[in-house]
Amino acid sequence: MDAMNLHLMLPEIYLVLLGLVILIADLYLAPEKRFNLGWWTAGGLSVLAVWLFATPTPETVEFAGFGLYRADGFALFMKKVFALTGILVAVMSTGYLKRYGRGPGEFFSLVIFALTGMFMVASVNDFMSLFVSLELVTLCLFILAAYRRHDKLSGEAGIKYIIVGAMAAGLMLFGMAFIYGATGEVRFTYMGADGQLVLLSQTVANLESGWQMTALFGFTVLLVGLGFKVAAVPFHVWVPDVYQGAPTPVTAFLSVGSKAAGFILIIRVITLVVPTIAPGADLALVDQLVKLFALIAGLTLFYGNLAAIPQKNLKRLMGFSSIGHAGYLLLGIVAVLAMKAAGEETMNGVSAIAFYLFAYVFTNMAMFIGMVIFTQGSEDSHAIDDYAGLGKRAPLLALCMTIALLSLAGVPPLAGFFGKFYLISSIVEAARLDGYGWLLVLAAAGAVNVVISMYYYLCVVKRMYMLEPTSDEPIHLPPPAKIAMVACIVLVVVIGIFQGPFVQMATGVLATLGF
Amino acid sequence: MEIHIAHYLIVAGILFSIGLVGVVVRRNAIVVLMCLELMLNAANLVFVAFARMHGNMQGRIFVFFAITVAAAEAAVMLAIIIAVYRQRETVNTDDMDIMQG
Repeated sequence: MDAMNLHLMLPEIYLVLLGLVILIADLYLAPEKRFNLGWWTAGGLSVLAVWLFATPTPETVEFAGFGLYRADGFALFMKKVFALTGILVAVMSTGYLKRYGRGPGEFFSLVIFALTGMFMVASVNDFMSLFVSLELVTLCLFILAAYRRHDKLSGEAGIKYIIVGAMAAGLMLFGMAFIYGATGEVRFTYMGADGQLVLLSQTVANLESGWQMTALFGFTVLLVGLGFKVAAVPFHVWVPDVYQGAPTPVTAFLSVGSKAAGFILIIRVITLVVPTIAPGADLALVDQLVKLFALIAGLTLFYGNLAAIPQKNLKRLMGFSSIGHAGYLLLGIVAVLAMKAAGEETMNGVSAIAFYLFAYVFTNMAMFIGMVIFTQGSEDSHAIDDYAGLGKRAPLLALCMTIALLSLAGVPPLAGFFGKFYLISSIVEAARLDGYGWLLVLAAAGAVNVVISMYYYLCVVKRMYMLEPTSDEPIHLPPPAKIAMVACIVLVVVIGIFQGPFVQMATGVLATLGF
Repeated sequence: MEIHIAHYLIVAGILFSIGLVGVVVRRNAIVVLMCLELMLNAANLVFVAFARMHGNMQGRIFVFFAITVAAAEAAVMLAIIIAVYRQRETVNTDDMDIMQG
């Protein structure tokens, strides 16, 4: 614990170096060759992805940076997810930036620095590293959202995002200050006076009731701040506008990376800082959090899916659908919290979230790559009506987007279905606990929302296949983007049909989670 | 009068509320930025006050990180505000209403 252990942080060091290499290479390359930096980024991140997939899941938790940083199974799993996200974003951005024609060097280095932040987020073991790494992610994303700085939509997206994001940061910091005030400790795990590893959650559990209320206040404010990051209702207002206005590859990055980062932090705070209540003990603190999260999860599910129905713009629709998916992921959080309130350390909710995020990367990325290909890198035809007759104009593109939409809606046997299935079953499992039978309502809400989301996703599919094309202009599928999209779709189908190894990977994160 | 931890917390609470309300109701992006800084600094005050109460360094060191992050955030926000001002000749957040619904 009291060591620097730099070797554990090698992936992050590699990423920082890669980002700097891209930034410097941009200065030395001829202008027409600069757009190749996208392939450098994708290549560099592929090496990282291979490296991470070759790393065996750690059996114990190791600490680096004097206890600021933890390397465990969950961190490794999420780093794999982020590395894959980064590769796909780099591939889809290359063609997009060629069309836009401005500064690829900054764009790709910002993507890499945001990824560095996400890697750090996956490994936080301290409120300090939590705050700094999350701000690294969001600061890079603010700039990326406003990247088309001559485009009014992008500027508007940037300013809306930064006001809400900075406000969320302020709330998080305020909440952390009160948790620190109650416990006198900012580390999640630390060496106690007797040389034993102490969890912050044990410290919280031993507080007297007044200070427990202070900690509860801190948790609530901190989780409100994180709620902004994951787009939970009622903290979702920025999502549709930012998704619509930001450049499409950035929207893709936001929808997967930023959301996953927020959920990792919620999971870390809940597993390491929120106490597990011993049977018969005072339940107030954790029980209140269960109710709060159950309410937020229910609202998020219904709002995201119902508000998506009248949308006319596909990017905006994806924004609302992303709110709906955040609602599903929150079901897993509610399940973990309910288990903690009943004194059990079962965390199936976390492995369900991990599996869902893994499946969500490929599904969502396939959809966004399809959108980048369809709009040919411009930002002017995102209306859903423009997709009319896509099945005739570009059969492969239409097929891939259809499969992605069906997986998002949760049609078996695609990956998205099993993601939702595991999350709902984790909540059903939690509903068996004494006093938590009402959680079944939430499980039912999850099932109802599958049907609601099916409606608006299938409306897009209907336009692609049932309507006549509005234009005969052929759609050019650039080979790299095409390969990436088809690979994503193949993985969506494979993860759906042969889940065994993927579920095993997701449940493997549990062994080292709560230490 | 002896200054107690509660006094610090009350001041921090007032600062934070002014900041939060300002972010929500003010329309000028620069004023919003000032209010955001107020929120972050209210949290810093809470950290320092609790650090003194607990007698350990963690809260004080946290404040250094928070100030650094706040500075970076202000820089990025001003850059975005300037970019938006060049497009529209205004920094009024009410005018940023192309996207709705």
